[in-house]
Amino acid sequence: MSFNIIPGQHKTKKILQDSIKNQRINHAYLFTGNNGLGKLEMAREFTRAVLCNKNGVDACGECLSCKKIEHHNHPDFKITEVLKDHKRILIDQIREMQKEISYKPYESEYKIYIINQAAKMTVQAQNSLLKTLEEPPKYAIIILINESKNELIPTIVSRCQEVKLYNQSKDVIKDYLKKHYNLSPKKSLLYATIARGKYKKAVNLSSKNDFIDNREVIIKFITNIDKKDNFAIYNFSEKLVELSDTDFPLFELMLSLLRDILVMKRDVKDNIINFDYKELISNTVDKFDIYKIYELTGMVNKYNDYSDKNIKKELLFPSLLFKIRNSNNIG
Amino acid sequence: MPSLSFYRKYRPQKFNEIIGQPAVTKTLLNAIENDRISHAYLFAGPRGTGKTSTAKVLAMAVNCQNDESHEPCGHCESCQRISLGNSIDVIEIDAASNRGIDEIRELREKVKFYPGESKYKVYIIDEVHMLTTGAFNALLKTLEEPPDNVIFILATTEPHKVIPTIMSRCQRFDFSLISEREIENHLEYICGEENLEYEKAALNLIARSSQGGLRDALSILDQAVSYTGENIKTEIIEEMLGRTSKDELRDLILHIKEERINKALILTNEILDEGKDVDRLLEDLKEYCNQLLLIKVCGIKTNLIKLPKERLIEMKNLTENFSLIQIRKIVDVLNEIKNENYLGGNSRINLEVGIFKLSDKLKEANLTKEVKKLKKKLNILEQKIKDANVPEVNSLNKREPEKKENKTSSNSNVSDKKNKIEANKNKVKTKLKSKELNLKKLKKYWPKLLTNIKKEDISMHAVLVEGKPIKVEEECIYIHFPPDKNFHRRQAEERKEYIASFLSESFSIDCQIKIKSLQKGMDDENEKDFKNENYIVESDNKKEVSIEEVAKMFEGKIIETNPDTISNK
Repeated sequence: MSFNIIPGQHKTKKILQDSIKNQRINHAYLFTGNNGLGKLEMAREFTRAVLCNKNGVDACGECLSCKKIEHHNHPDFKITEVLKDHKRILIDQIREMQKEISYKPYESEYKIYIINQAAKMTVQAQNSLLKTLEEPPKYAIIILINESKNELIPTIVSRCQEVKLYNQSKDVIKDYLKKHYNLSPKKSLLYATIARGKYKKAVNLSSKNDFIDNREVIIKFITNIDKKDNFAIYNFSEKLVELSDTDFPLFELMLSLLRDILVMKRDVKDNIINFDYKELISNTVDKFDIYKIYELTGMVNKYNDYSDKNIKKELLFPSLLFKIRNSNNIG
Repeated sequence: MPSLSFYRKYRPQKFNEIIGQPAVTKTLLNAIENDRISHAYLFAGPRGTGKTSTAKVLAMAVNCQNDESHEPCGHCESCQRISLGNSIDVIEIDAASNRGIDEIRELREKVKFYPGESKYKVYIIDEVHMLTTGAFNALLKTLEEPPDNVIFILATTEPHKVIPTIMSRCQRFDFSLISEREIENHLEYICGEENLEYEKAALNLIARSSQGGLRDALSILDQAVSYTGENIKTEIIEEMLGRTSKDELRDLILHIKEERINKALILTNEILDEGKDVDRLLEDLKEYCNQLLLIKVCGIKTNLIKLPKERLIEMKNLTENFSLIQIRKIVDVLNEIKNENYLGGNSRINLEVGIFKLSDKLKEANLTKEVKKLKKKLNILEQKIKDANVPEVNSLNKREPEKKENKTSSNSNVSDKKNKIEANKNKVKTKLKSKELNLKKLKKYWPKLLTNIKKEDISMHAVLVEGKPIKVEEECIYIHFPPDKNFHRRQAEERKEYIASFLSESFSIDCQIKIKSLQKGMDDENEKDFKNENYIVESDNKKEVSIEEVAKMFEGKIIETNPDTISNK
């Protein structure tokens, strides 16, 4: 285990490794980048490399320190995150961390604290972190992890050195899937395309057995929605309700489908996401008016938002499906 | 050990090292010099502008054992201790972590004790906006009348959260954002101290993206050093900050405009795969469009946009391709995309759909523009037809010969200039001699002339409406202005030739214009005319014209008749 477990991200790795090499490790970092790029993994590998007894720029994986981190029992390394049964990181957790951080490290040169999903900190918690973040004890390194820096209060951001993680190209993820998960090239390509740069998402999708089947059902239904009667729609929405309770990327699939129809409509052939259903999608093209599609994408986004709120899903999905059917020129 | 980041290493130790807050530092220095130190200060301002630093410097300055200057000397025992943070009399409290009433009560207990080793006991309460209301109120009495030799310095980024009763007990200092120039200079200074090589443009870029916070700038510089080593180059900074380079933005917008959707999509994917996130790209696009708008409206000579000249010219050229509405439409759609992203969903797909939408909207905007143009043309056309067919003047003309002697129909040329050619054709008239244009006629058609001139040049109308034709002599028309309308007279004087040509065309004669100022009492009759907007027309043969006829002539209604006015004439 080392930085290699995260596919791609060469630039980010280089920044971090250079800072170890040049002994310019900062006292506060903010790791940003989309979810599913491996920010936490990156932070953990960085910690391992910094704390590693062999003083290299990457974790050796064999020394005591590396092993301890792997087994989550290194005394000088701690991850603060949202507690179970809570929605936010509380000010008490930060106070606790501040207290601990003032004790000298037990066995290493550094003491490293990671705060995962830093924007989950309450405003009070964020504020109470400010002073520590600005001038922590000499041995301390604090790493905040968050999807974007805009969600944090600016006084936090200005105290940290930002380290960005980037979406990875299709090929990087495809190779990664092939190598680490022994997937066939075709499947690897499919997952890599759908994941659009986020390797963890690709891995996650590939681990679900029914993803491919469900996807097929949905794509086939929506592309033929003009031929479905009301009964079929109600029947189908029951399945969607069921799916929406799992982590199946339902709305995203619909969005990508609409996008692909647009793409086909404008004759931009080689840019399609659901490339395995190209035929089916190209048959749908004439059924939708281009402005209707813009409306529908807005609609899907809105319903996505609704589904996170307290709205009965048994009503939500039929409504959405009817709207899609009504937008159909034929329907 | 982690290396000390620049913003900690280069924390100012003296007032003159504080960047960009001259008003604050000068006031504080003067206060120290005149021994007028207040017991409570409130420092407010955005992040990274030097609030905490100033507080620390102030604490050092009031306690400095060296009397030579009012700046802290930096090497006496007191200064040393304070700057290392282990003085027992300078107490830095993190109000965000100690925000309860108990902490404040504890503080009140300790305030009573005299300073241990220094002249003043200084409490620096940082992030004071996070105190609870209870805590704030517990502090009030102490803050109003603390024991001698105690100074409170409250620092906050959000002064509006500090209750007014606290505010009124403190001397408030507002820290402003630091200008790019000052940040740039400071970065240069630090690069010099650290023996770093740098490109000036790179530092400028850092200064710009720090948005006025010096700490932000130094954080980025730190990042840059760990990213690039000892040599700070522009491209690398651009790459590091993840700013989409201007060329990419330009290409993207052009692709969309020219409906090369495929290329636009590929470019977007390239940009996003390089790791720029969708929100950032949207923001950059918006900023770029905003700059385009500014350039389009104000030109490049203004200093509104700080970019190298070549870049500005390049952007200027780009704006030629777009109409104002189009650029605004782009910004609108970008905002829409942002809102949709806010709802959740997949921001990348939303962006892509947005690109399709953009190209459609641009087409639409173009159409609206075309339609508007056509409408305008149509209006003009309609007006022309109307003028040609049923002009009021024509109906006037028909009546003319009956009433006036020596009438020639060619006088009808008073009507709209556009009408003139046609009229000429029909009447096949030789040019009138100027004699045939007499004052009466001129006066009669004056209002009509004015409305015609209004269509051509509204400013000229505004000028002439104050004037009045007085005399027609040979080929000369005299127009007089009342003495208090000097401005109008001068304007008319300046554009004499234009008026002359307009009149010549209208009457199909050659004439000159003389502009004069009307002397008071010089011409009673004329003066009356000024007061009387409606010209009463008398026929040449002195035959009375009935009021009804006049009304008919002007296609108007009789509202009131005043025998005095009529008899005066």
